Amino acid sequence: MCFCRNWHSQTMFGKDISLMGAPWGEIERDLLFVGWGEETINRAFRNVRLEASRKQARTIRSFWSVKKAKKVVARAAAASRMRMNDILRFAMRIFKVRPGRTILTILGIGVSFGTIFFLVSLGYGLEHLLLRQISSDESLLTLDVFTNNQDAIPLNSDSLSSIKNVEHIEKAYPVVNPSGQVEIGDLVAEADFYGVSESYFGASGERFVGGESFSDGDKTVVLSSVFARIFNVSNTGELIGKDVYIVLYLSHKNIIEGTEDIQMVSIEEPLRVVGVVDDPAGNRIYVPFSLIANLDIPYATVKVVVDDSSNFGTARAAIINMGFNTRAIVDTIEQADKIFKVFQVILALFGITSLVVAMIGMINTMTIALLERIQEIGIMKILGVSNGDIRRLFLFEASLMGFLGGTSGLIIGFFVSRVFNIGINFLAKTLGGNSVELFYYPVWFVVVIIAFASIVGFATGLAPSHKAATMDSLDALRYK
Amino acid sequence: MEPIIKVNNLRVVYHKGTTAESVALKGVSIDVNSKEFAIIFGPSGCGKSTLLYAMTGIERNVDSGDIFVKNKNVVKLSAEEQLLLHRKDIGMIFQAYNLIPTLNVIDNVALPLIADGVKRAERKSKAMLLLSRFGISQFAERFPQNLSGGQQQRVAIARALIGDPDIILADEPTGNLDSQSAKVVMETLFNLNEEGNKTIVLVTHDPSYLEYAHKVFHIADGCVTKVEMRNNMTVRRELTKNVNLPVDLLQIKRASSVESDDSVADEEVFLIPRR
Ligand SMILES: Nc1ncnc2c1ncn2[C@@H]1O[C@H](COP(=O)(O)OP(=O)(O)OP(=O)(O)O)[C@@H](O)[C@H]1O
Ligand SMILES: [Mg+2]
Repeated sequence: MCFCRNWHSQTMFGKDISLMGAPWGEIERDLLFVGWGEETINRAFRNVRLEASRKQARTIRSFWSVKKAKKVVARAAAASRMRMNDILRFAMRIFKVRPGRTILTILGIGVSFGTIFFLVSLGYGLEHLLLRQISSDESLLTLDVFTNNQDAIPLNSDSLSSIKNVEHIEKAYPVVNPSGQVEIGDLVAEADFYGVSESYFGASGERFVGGESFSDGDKTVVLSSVFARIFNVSNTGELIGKDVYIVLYLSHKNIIEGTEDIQMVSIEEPLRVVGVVDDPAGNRIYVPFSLIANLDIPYATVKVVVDDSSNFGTARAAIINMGFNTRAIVDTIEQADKIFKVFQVILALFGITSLVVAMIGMINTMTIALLERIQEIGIMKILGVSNGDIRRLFLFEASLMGFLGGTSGLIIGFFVSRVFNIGINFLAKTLGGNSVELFYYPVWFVVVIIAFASIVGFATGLAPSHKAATMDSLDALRYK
Repeated sequence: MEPIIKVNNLRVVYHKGTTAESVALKGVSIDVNSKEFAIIFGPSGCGKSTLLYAMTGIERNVDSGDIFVKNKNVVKLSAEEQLLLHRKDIGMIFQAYNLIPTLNVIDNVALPLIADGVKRAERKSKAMLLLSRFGISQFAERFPQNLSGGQQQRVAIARALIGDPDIILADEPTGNLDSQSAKVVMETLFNLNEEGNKTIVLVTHDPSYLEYAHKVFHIADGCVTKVEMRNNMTVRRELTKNVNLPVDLLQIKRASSVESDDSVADEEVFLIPRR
């Protein structure tokens, strides 16, 4: 009786045992023999059909384990549908019947996914480019501290040491920003001077086009690349090794009288140029802070490096509490991120539009394919192909087209982006710029494109496959 | 003995309840016994095809009546039972051959086995055996449109036989064929019945085929007007002689009954052995 109960629960899992073509009476006797009640037999076989031969009847008689019963039922169920490789082979006929139409449809999807792939990898590429340009790791942890009112909240060596005492601050160093003159040979030019420590270059994300940074205590300077033009040298590299003389203008406010004196301080020794940073517009000259520390110039900013990005907000808040203002590259990146979000939405709209067009093309192709094959569907059905297999066949064809569309889209998008990149770099080189990589191809996006294209194909196949599967076989057979 | 096909008072109405309502069969009752050659005969539009397709269970416009095929009521079959009926119990032959143009001959013949998930090697050997018996094995890799009508119909007959069904239903199988090809098809069917013990139900409006039958159902305007039992043992024996029966298993015989007409000199009849 225990066996009956087991069988019982097992009829729930599944499909069926029909005993068509089997000597039913004999099987029934067998089942009664092993202890099935009449009602149990009826219930077990009510929904389910499995083609059982004499041999299978003997197997059923020896069903002492549910596991074995499951196996037999599974095998019988599997025997009643087309093999996967046959479905694949049948689906491949889309390339035989109307290869032109199939390929055009696939290319339609390919172009649409290619556009999406192109735009998205461009978006990613630009974002990468920007982040690499404006930010080193340290620069993301760096905070510029400045004051709006040097008189009320002065930024000087006292405030520097109190900033240094704020928790989570790894280092802090001043930047002074007097204006002045620079002299190379007999040429003189106005310039903005920055008295900085050597750490400044790592934190600011400044890009060197020649030479390198100075060390604290050296008697050297770093110029911005604009001086190549100002001093008439053809190449920024030629500036390096030259000696310059500098004069600084220092202002002293007299609060009581409300007047301001300008004092000109010239540094008598020649300073050697050791590096050039990329800036074709601003006349900037960096000098080691140590060189001008004794001039007691109020600090323009204090660069603060926080120990860890997770403490960035806390440290920043603490400094703002002291009355100072702050600025960080992170802010710029957040700004840029917002711009990229907008850019991505625009990309998505472009992509969705072209996708909709491609999907309409594909639905059209599937519908025409269905109409052309109504008679074939009727023939297949009347020869014993199940509705489920017809549905699978159409769905498979549609998914296959989607998959191939996605794959060709990747290929198209990739090649177009390569050509585009080469073109842009060629242009950049002739205009004297640097070559850049505008595109970035995230692996996950490649996978997503192929998967999504297949899903889109599958989705466009749903309606036609349903129509094919539920079509009346006789009507289909007689369809002209 | 129970008839293998039994139609009880079958009424088929198309577009019931609409202005386009048309009654195709008005209470038809027929019996076909196992191993019988039955012909459904009548003028165009009388309901012959409707009756034949109803026997396979795919006619959904059955208004009333029952159809038993091998003791199963095909009007009430589940989807699975109906599939098995089509794969194993009934072979169909059509006037328009109904081969699938994008499948080669061997896949066309094996289609009922493909539907059943039979392994490739097994179904291929079965199909090739049938094709060689019908003298068309050299066309196995060709596509149907590259065959003559007669050859296509023989492919279709091979397909009808691949599941080894007991019943063959043929709807005007010679309708699109020239007289010589038609004769080959008819003799093949006759032979399938005589030697292969298949039950044959043939739909035709050509009275010259009636001599093949054991039983003829005359139909007019959706009703059986006459059931003719043909006591034609002598005629059939004569026919048997004409197609050089009996034969051994795979022996190929030239159809000597075909009066030497050069155009069909290569048409051969391959006889199905008794099982
Ligand atoms: N799908 C359908 N819708 C409406 N009427 C139909 C349909 N199929 C058949 N009929 C009608 O049913 C009747 C019988 O049709 P059927 O096809 O069975 O005739 P038939 O005897 O096979 O004729 P033929 O010898 O020309 O093939 C005809 O009057 C036909 O118009
Ligand atoms: Mg007809």
